Amino acid sequence: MIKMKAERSGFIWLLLGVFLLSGGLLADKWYRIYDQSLAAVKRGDWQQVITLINESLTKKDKPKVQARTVGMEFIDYFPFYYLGMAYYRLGQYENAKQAFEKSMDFAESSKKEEIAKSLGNMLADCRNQLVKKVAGSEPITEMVKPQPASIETMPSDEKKEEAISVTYQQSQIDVPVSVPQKSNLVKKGVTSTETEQAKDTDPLLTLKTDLNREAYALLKTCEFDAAQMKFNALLQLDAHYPKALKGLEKIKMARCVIQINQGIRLYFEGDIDGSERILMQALADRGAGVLGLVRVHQFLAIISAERYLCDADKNPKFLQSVRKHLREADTGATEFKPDSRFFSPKVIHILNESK
Amino acid sequence: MGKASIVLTALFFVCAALPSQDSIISETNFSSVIGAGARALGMGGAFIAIADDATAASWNPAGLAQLERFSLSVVNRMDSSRALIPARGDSVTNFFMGAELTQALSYGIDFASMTMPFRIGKVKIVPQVSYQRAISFNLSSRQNGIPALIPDEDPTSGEKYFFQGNFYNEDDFIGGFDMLSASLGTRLFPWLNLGFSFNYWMNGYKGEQVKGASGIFYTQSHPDIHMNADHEVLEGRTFDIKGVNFNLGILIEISENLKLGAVYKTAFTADIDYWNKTHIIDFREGGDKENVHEASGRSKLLWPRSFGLGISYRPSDPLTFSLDYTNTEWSKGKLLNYHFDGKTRDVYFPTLHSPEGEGRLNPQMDAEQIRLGMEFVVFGEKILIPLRAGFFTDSQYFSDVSGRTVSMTGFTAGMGVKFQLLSFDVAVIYQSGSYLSNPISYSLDEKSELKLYFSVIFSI
Repeated sequence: MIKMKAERSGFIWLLLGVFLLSGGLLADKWYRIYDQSLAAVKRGDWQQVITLINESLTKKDKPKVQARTVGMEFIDYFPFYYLGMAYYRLGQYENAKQAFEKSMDFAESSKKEEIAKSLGNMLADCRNQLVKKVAGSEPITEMVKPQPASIETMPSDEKKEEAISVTYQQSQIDVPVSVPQKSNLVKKGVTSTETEQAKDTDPLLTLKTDLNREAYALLKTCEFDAAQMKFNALLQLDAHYPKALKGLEKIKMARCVIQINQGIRLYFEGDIDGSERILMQALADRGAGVLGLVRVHQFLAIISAERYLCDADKNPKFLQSVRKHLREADTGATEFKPDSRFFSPKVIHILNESK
Repeated sequence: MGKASIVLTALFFVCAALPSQDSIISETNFSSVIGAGARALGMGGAFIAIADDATAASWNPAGLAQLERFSLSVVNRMDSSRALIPARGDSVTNFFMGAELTQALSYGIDFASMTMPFRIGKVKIVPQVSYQRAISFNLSSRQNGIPALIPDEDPTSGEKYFFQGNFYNEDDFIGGFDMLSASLGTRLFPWLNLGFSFNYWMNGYKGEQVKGASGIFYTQSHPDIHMNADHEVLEGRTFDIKGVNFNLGILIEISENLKLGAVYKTAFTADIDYWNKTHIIDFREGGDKENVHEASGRSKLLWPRSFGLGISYRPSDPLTFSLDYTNTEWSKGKLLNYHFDGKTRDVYFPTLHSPEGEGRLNPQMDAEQIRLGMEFVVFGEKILIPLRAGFFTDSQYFSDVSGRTVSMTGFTAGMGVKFQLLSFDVAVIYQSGSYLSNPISYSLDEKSELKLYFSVIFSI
């Protein structure tokens, strides 16, 4: 009897041991792994997405619309779509192209037109990037991690401050959404329950939302080239995506504001020609908003006054130019009062006389 | 045969002709001690190899390991039954007594559960706590005899008896055997799930029965002696159970589409607290006579083991087929030292027949069920609409008077709506069968039962 009890006890402990030690033998179902990969997509952890999607593909290798998981749970299983997206985000266009091509076949056969359209855009972009890579015209790494903008357009820290400062000032007058509001937009996009729920089922919306979020984050840190690239990608997916259109408008405005400030700085450095050239260019670009244009005209009036004073012939065309720019700068909102600490009395006199 | 013995014989046969409260209850409930949930029952109750929703533990605790989400479930039951013992003509004995029994609609919570999956490292553990009304005794039935002539024959003397009259039977019972269960499912390998449940059985039923008969009794040899056989029997009864048993389950996923399941429910000895009182009032000529038996006490109930095997096949994601076989060892279902009708004895449970044999009653047998089901899911714009159907045969634990196995057959149908986190399901079960239950009626009882189940499952 005792022996039997001991044997039974041993068997129970053996079972318990197997139960506890079996953790290492465990492997999740494909839908669990896929679910984790979607969470990684939301986090933007693309390397993890690739790892998890590849693992789920070992267990379920075919995409499926309304694939059954547990009980009455069904999900759309698009592993190649997200795999391609992850490769795309990491700049591995050859891999992305292959994944997108596989996903495209499935999307077309399952009549997922929106996804097929999105895939088509991304696939086209992959091919373009690969062509560029072969031609050597653009380093792939620029797409991999959005690098700071090129030397010509990359703002220095000081310029950034100026740009942001001016942008803020601008926005208070004539821009409906300021930079901080942009971040609010991003935040709103992230936390919207409705959007999140839709994202669970719409890969295209996921991609759009992610691109939009990333673009605005780049815009906030003045990485305009990279932000512009994201917005352009968004417009490839949806030519009328309002946030992308607005984002591009803001980039244009921010660049113009930087240009204006650069022109003003050159004036104070004594480079009158350089200053005039840049300010005239900013005027031609017409991206600075009302306040920016007022400033441009004010400084062009000042420069014209300087030129009049320096001109031996006292050519009246300079005075005409002064009057013309002052007229343009007069919005009726504020009176132009040049500060005597920065401008010579003669210049101020000409400006006052020309009003 | 003297007049007195004719009267006594008449009383015995008339009383025997009336269905006892236990047979009414047991025949409609006990053989189908299975799981719960409108989804599963809509599929004919073939769910052992599926068990993938919040009702999993009631079918196969190993199925719990499949669940990924926190879930709450409630299942409601509505049922009614009807039994017909038809009057039937015969060339020798002319007519037999018939009866019609109708059971009023009863309603109650059949199952409720809470499931909370979690992981420790890579080990997935899915516990569930649940309540299940394993056997319902909610019963309010009215049985009225159809006036007819009942013939019978004394096995020793060969004397033929006739009873011509009517009878009635009213039952009002409430309660049921309930189970509180703590279950655990885990996935050991991607293809192997194991689970167990600890079940605490409790509660019981109480109620009363009034049955009576009035008519004339006479024999073939003395057709001139007509005896009034009017009498009424009042019975009261309470019956409470306390016990513990375990369910062990295994679910093998041979492939994404093919699963095998098995569940074993252990036998156990339960404590039964009972009280019963029988009050017989005899209105025959010569004045009313009363006979009262009352008993109460604690008895031991030997609840039998049962096991089930199942297979499910999913040819495509929306379509599932399943097949179950279950066996309950009712031949070993016994109530020990039960005091009833002035005697203490071991009796079969749930029929309460003596194993030694009394009269012409046959011993209890093991019950078997074969269940077949299918489910097809229709995809709506934002909802899922599952459609279900099933069929089952239910071989009972009691036999008819000739010793033949009594088997019921049933059809089920169901549908549901799944919208986001909520699943609503409804199932209807129709079960019917006919058999010769009464030693003196020679007529086939035709029994049918209609049950309706509603489920709500909420998963996060």
